[in-house]
Amino acid sequence: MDHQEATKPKTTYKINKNIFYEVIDNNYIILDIFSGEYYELSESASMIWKEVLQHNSGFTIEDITNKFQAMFKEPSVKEDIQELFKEFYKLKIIKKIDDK
Amino acid sequence: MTINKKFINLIRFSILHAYVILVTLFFKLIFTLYGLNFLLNILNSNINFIKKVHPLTLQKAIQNLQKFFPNLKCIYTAASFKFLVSDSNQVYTFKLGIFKKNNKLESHAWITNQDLIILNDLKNLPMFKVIYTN
Repeated sequence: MDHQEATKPKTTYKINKNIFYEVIDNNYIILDIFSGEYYELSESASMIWKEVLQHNSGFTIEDITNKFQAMFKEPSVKEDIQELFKEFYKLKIIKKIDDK
Repeated sequence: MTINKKFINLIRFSILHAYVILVTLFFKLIFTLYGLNFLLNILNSNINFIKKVHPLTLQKAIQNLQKFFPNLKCIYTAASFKFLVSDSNQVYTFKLGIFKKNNKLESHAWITNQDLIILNDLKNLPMFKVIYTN
């Protein structure tokens, strides 16, 4: 699947059920039990992940982006967040709500 | 104790340890071939024909195994314990934890019964943060 097309701003996503996470030294560590891989998020990625965790029933990339754009007012915020979610989707950390 | 009883106990001891070794190697194979998720799915499955072992006996058997095979990964022994421990009023929890040391992530697997560490205790275990339990 083309990941640029896959991560659409208005589509609703949620965290995959194979994902577990914990905070160490203020950064989130994500465990994917399907792959057995651990991923350590940077400080900024951890802030975004923390925001994702607030939305148990699902989130849109647009909502997350709008919130952080309002907070940081940096031109690169939108692109950085979209890149992050593209990576999350590629690694199957998140999935579209209607994905099986 | 008569010689016969000693001999029978030795046989039982050997069979138990061989059984535990086989199950532990099974989990090593499963993890290597199919990964963590498959191993965890097996722990969650209810396989009736598996012979369960008393927790104290199992703990000693696995600890003996670890003396002879010190490089045996914690996740295989913890998985074996969880899989083989006999049903009782006690609940044995399989835990996966992580710890960051010198900017490097370490992971560990152990078994607890309430707050008591039954298997794979470490001096620095309190530093590990639990990321998965079963």
